[in-house]
Amino acid sequence: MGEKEEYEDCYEKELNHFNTYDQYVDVVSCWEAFLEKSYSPYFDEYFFDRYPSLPIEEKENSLTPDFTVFFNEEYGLLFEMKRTFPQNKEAFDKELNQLEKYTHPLPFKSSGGSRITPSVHDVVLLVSSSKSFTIAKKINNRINNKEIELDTNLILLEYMYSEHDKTSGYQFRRVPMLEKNFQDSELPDEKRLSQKMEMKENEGYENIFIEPCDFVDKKVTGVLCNDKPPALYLVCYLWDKVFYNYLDKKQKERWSRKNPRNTFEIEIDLDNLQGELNNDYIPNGFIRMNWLKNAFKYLETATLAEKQESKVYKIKYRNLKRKRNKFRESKSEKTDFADLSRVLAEWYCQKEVKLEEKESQKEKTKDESKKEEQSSIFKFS
Amino acid sequence: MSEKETKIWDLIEVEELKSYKNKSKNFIEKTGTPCRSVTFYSDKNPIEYFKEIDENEYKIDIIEKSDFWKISLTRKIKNKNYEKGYRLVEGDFIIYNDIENIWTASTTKGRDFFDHALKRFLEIFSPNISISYLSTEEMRKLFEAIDNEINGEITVDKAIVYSHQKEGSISFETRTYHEVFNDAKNQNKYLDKIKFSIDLAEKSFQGYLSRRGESRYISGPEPIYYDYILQSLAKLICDKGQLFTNKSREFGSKESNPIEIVFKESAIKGPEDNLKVIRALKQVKSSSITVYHKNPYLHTSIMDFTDGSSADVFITSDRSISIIPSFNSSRNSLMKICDNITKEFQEGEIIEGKRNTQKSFDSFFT
Repeated sequence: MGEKEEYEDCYEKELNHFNTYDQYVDVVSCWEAFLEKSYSPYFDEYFFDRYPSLPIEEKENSLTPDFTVFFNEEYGLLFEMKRTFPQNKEAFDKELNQLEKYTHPLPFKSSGGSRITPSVHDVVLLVSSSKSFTIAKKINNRINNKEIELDTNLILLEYMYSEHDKTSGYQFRRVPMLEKNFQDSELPDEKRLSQKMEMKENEGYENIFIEPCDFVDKKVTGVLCNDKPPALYLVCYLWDKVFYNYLDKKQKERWSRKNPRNTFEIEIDLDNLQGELNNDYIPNGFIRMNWLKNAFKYLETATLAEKQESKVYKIKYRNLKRKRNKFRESKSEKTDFADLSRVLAEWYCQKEVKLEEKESQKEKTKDESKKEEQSSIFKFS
Repeated sequence: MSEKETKIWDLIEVEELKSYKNKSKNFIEKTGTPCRSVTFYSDKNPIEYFKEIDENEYKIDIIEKSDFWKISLTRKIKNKNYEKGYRLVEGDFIIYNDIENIWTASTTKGRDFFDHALKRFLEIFSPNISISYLSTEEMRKLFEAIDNEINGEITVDKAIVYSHQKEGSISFETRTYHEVFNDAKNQNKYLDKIKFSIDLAEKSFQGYLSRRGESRYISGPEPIYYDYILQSLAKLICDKGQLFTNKSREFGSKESNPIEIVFKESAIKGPEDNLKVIRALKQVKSSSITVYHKNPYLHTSIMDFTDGSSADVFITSDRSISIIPSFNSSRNSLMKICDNITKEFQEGEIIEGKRNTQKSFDSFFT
């Protein structure tokens, strides 16, 4: 693969990961908006945990499903989201084993902050509509053939973005084959998902339909989801919403009164940043240190940050513009508009490709010197 | 102050705003130089901000009068093409308070001083001082308010209108203001500047208004300008400013304060329009945008590097754009965002964001 193709490949991969993750964030935000609006007035301790980390007794580790909802001591919901499932049987079963762990009684977070284990909780698996039937069939076969023990109320819902009655939004619907339904007798009679989403004679399943206007404020305040974000996604958020607040008064004034194209160096301590993100920027957030390290490594590669200590970085903060260079004329740049995600991906990939080039050059040199060594050994022997 | 200006009136001698208004009329009649004003929003008395200025580029001298402030301003514009490597733009202006946080700065010094010294000087106090932007509909409301107050026919002598794709056209045809506004609406264009006359019983009045809250008093009785036009403009800017005030999210809170731009039904037609909104946002000066979701719905985030303001912008339906201000979202920046969308994409009504409190449980199901 030539340098330009490598660059194109890197750039597209970065943006694809960014877009896929954004869809996850959308889906979580849809459920947060829908469930909060529908049920929070009925339950004093209702809590939508966007970043769950459920402690389990026997191990030090905790379980981190995509999101959980605590209604009361009797009922909770746990959601796991998969765009798709692996093809490989072993990997597929590994995913199911993970789901099986979610079926045991688990301590959900309630609004007061305390951990309460609901008597019953349902596990909802959200999958993209493109593979939902295949996944349902595979899971069903495994259960029927007793290849896997999944003695739980696993509800499979597919999601897609679709149009309905002149509006568009995310649609969620039951997938046939897995016939389990919600055990939600604790929910108000007229708002039971089990009734709304059961198969109606001659009508099929009813769908939940959530428009952007319903969920955008949850997306803005929730920011991420409980899966590790692509570095680019988190970097965009930090660049857009956080780093400016690290400028001092004089630096802010210089941007405001003089030249907003100036570059300012700001020092960021990742421990402090993590605390601020999880409390101030994303209340009840759970941004992990390794997510932040990943994001700052990305900035370092893109030459926008310098590592000072293991958790301290110096950022070269500015209104980022496209770089003029030999990749400038590549197809992706010609057809796209230069928003921050694209500009950052360009900065990153330009360096990443060169780094890889250097790496391969190093490997090549190593191989050659090995060969030389071997040939010299051979000669002397 | 120029020699010519000093001979006709010296601002030093003017103590009351009423007297300024009257003398400015005489000055305009004798010299033909209009009085230019800009009406703007300021959190507190702008004089307090002016006093803090620490810039080599500007020199100011402030004199407090009984009900206004007189300011002598000099701006040193550096450019190697000038003979000395710089040029000085100097003049006097006055500022006074209209209603609540609305202030007007006026000068009879001329276009060069107004454009290159006064307006640039005010811009450096952003976001504390913010220029307001009027939509075509708001300009129409302003003319209707003047029409209701004054007994005289309003005609438009010159109108500069733009299509949302930037093609400007100037009309010199004298028409009623209703015709001008209706034409702009029917042709999906927006009005940028308007020069108008009011035929009064004795004498006619001539003035000018732009969507940036700038106005000119060209000729005629001064109360029409100061007591009706500037007063109506101040009220309109005040009402509009409220929509963009205190919208920032608080740290540690999940409460947001959205603003919505509502268009006519089915005005937003799909991915092509998403791109138009992206382009409109990209034209906000000194800003950067991040496109999180391009299609089918649009989610972008915009960061204004002049004051660190940021907001998320969504196309949420075929007739609405929702703007959710972030932790730092100045009034000035939110106004700029809305102005760029209405200018470059389409004009719509700007309202407090709706919360879907009315949506029933059953309406989430299809």
